[in-house]
Amino acid sequence: MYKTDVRGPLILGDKNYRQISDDIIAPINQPIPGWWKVAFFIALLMTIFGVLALYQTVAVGLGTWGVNNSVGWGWEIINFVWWIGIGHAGTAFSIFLLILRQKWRTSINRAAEAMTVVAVMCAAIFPAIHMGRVWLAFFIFPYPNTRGPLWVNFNSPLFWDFIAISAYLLISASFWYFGMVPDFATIRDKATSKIKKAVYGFFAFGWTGSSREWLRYEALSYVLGGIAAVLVVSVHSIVSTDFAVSVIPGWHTTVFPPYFVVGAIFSGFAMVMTLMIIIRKMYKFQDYVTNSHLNAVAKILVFVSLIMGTAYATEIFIAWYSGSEYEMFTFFKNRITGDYSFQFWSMVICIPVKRLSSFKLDDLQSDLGRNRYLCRYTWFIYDWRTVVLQVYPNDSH
Amino acid sequence: MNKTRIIGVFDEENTLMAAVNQVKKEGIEINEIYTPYPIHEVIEAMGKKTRFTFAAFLFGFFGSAGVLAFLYYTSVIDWPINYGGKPTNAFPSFIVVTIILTILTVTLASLFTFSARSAIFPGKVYDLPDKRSTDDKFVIVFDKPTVQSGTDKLNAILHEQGALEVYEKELNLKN
Repeated sequence: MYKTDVRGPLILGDKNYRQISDDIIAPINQPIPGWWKVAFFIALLMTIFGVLALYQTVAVGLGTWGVNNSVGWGWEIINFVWWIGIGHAGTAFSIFLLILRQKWRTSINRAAEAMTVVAVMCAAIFPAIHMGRVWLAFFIFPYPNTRGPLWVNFNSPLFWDFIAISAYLLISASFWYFGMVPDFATIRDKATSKIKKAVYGFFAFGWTGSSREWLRYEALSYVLGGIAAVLVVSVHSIVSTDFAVSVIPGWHTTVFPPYFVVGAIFSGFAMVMTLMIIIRKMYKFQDYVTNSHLNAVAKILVFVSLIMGTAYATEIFIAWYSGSEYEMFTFFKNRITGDYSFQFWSMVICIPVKRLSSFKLDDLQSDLGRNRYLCRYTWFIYDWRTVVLQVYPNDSH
Repeated sequence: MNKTRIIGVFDEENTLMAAVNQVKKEGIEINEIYTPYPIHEVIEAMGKKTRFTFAAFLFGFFGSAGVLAFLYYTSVIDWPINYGGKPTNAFPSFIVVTIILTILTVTLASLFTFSARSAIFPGKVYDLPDKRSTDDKFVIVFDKPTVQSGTDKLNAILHEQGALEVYEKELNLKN
């Protein structure tokens, strides 16, 4: 079943179905390992820091983020775009490969979907904070209210963002959860303790795996997969309109929707890979998340990096072709030869060239190094794009 | 309703399919097949069809019509606002919200339909013929009264096709 002529075995080690279930469930039944506790503690500290920072922002004001009258968005748009981009890759990974019937996706898709749900929740923080009075953020819900009823502005990209994020969160969480229902049933039926059986039984929704259930389950997967594929493309296109409808040089451009979608897939796939490399190492899943799976992800990354390269080149060409002195300044003076030339050239050299020169996956160390590199630099691009053009726009012209 | 069922347990997908084909050839009615993962041949062999995709299309159609109607009502009828002289019925601006909310409608309505039609919900009381079928075994279930005349023959077929076990059990299944 899991051996294909074209790609070879999807799972290494010639395992039977029982071994597969046992190996994958193993981390649930084992006591929590020490490294997990350390990692959790570090994550907890970072969360506490994040909460304190949010408290500071709300208590003191958005000025703490360097946002002022001429700078509409600051750090929040960087963080927002970064998180939503990471989130998109999880869905893209899951959905596009489902529709293309790539069976190797199943080793990674659940983790990718989990990453999506968490990343979208993180992303949702930033537009809410950006509104200023976060305690009035519910004004954005278009519900019949006592303020008129005053409806929201349906022409505003901020509202599109709200709709997109809320829908995206709900849809990706449902897709993730329903994907897990048969797995919960497996854990329920293998559980030995009564509590575990009850808890997993609750989450399994009474799943039995009958042909009737599978028939509808398959139909549901393809329906959700088909429409969520549209969602991946449309949501990030909407996110890009936040930038594109502004009149800031370097942002006011029509290439943004495809550029952002591809950028999200680029950074997010790198993130998926980084996480999976750690997970497969720590939980000893090398037989399930094989090198050949990671290689397939790496190939997608190479392809996507070429599209990104084309998008960068297009931006620069159009800046020149437009004849606009502001566009010229932004791209040629500020980025290519000016204050941000180091960052610009790092991006140009590191992303496509680095990818092409290190095509094959060799060992854990180089995998990790390369992916951290990618994530960091993709973040950096957004970061740099935003900081240069928004926080310091008046320096440039 | 509790009924006596004959349960055949298989180790492999291909032995299960061989048994399914043989049993069908003999004209014995299969009650249900339980598998750890979806097998399209099994679904086809059970001869069941679903109109799920058509339902999803209807959800999408009425969802998008509903969203557009809502946007028109709020922006044109109930509270028209002049944004720089732009028309209040700004259809291009409505497209984005319509697409996203249509997708949301289809997703949520499909999930509810799935839950309702498959009777999948938290706290459901269910009867699983053999709990190994969610792990690594393929289980075929027959209704004993319907195969009363040929129970021995059925046993022989199942064993011949490679069944690990064949046994009888009182079960409260849907059919």
